[in-house]
Amino acid sequence: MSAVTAPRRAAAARDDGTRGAVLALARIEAVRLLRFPAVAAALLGHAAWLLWPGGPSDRHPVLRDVALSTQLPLLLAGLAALLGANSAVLRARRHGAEGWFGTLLLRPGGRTLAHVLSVLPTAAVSALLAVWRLGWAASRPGASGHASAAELAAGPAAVLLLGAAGVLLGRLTASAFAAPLAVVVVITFDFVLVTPPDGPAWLRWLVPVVSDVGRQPLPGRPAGAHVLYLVSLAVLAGAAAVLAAGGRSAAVRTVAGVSLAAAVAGAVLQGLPMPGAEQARTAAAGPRPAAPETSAAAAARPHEAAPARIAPTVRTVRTVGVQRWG
Amino acid sequence: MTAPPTVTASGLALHHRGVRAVDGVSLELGRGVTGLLGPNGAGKTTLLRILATATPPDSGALSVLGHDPGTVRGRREARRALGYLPQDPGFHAGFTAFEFVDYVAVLKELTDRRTRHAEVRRVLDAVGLAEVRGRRIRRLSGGMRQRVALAAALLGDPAFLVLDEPTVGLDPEQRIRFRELVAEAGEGRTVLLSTHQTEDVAMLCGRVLVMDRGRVRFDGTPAELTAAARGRVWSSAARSPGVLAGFRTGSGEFRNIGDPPAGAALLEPTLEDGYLLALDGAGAVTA
Repeated sequence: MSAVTAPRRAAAARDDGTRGAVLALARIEAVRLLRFPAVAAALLGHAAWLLWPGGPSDRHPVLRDVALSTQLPLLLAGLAALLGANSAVLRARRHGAEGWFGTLLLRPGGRTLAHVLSVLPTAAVSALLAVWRLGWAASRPGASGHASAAELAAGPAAVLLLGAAGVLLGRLTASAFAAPLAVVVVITFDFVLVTPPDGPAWLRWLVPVVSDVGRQPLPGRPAGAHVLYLVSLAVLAGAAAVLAAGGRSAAVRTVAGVSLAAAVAGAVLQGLPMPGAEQARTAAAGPRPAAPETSAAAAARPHEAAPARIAPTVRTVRTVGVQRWG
Repeated sequence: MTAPPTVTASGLALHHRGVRAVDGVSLELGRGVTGLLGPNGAGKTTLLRILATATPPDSGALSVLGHDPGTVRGRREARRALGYLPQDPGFHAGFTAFEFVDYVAVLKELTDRRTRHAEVRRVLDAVGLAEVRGRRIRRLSGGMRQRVALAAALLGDPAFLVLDEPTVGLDPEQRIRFRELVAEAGEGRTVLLSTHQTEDVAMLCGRVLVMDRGRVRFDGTPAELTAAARGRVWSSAARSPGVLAGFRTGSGEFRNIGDPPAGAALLEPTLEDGYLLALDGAGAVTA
């Protein structure tokens, strides 16, 4: 009997149907997304910058600002994920394979869900880079202040959101120009329209990432609400993409509705004024991230005593740790 | 006792851009290779797309391996048993042959990684691409690409294989190799092969359908199609007027197809002659 006609127990390979196929396709697409040139360049470039001796500032890092500063480099990874995910979604149409794939078992809704899930590993790698950056800063002599876990999560959440947006865009339009145009829109939105410090706070926090770290002390914000806002938007974009691909099951509609409500809630909550105690602590943590210590107190440790000519000197002490924000 | 037909269609019709692309086609397909001949625009690809569940018909009844593709469940079950090689498959050129077939395998819901990879290796071996499975598709020849597509169509050992002009653009050696593969594939399963190559049909098929203007004009064996031209092919020293097709051969004689004059020197017909006559002049050529 020939190889072509050799009887196979193909049914044995079909073990868990559509769900298994979605996960298998998500794995394949995730690897391809990580290998997408722009994504690979953004992530490897970020890692190289962290490893480079002259990379991130290594003198007296303020952990609160370090957590915020992890977000901007990850915006690049997010924009690359937008391009890569969009390109992957359009691949079959670009190569004229849609008609063929349409006769296979996994339907467009399932394929779209796989593309959305494929962004998760890129977001996970982004999270690792952010944690690495903070951990490295925390290990430096003179590191001070507290970092917010939610601020640290905002960068990877933005990567997730932008990748899901790329998938949604691919399901809404087949144009190859849509994704690059979306990149320009996001950059304009993030850097030009919303960032000015005199803008209203509620508008300022609608952007995925904080992009003006270092220019001036940033006001505090309920970062947990911001992460809720970003993740909900990502889920909403993914659900909308699946709906646009024809996967209009009740579960997808429910996820879309719940994520929309959560996104609105996150947007509102992050714009609310912080509680008085939180606000005071944040204000203090801006210019002085650690508890003030006078030279008199420091004199108890002679090796850290400040010169008398600049007394009274306020010095900071190293405080390492991660603080949750509500 | 004969085996039940794999595919049964009754009164299939589909309008496409204001034209009846498929016009009341009824057929039954059993095991073995069936050839589908017809000129461009005859409706072959549209019929294949309907049978491959890619396009629903406007009207008519269809059963593929006992499943009704008109229902969601029936369509899924039919697709499980279906291998489809479209006219222009649309390869992901940046994928390797293995990656592409693996990708199609996932879309066919072959989810267990180890089993799936074994199946991908099996079909690539079957079409003779074991040596180049790590090569990117953009670096493969046209014949190799067609074999990649055939490998993808063979995934999961489908009982019904639909091949839409798989030998287009292949050189003679590649075509012979492809014939071997299709002949092997036809052992034990139902294969519907659309082609412009009457030689492919003569070599491979136990049955042939001739389509024109959306309708099936002939349904029988290749021998019957050839026999239908018996007595209607003749040679002459000069071009005969009013023939369906006539051309000068290498010997300098004219070979004519149509209604011969009295006393004409009749020739043994070929499948191609029968095909032209089945089209009733629609595909007539002169030279």
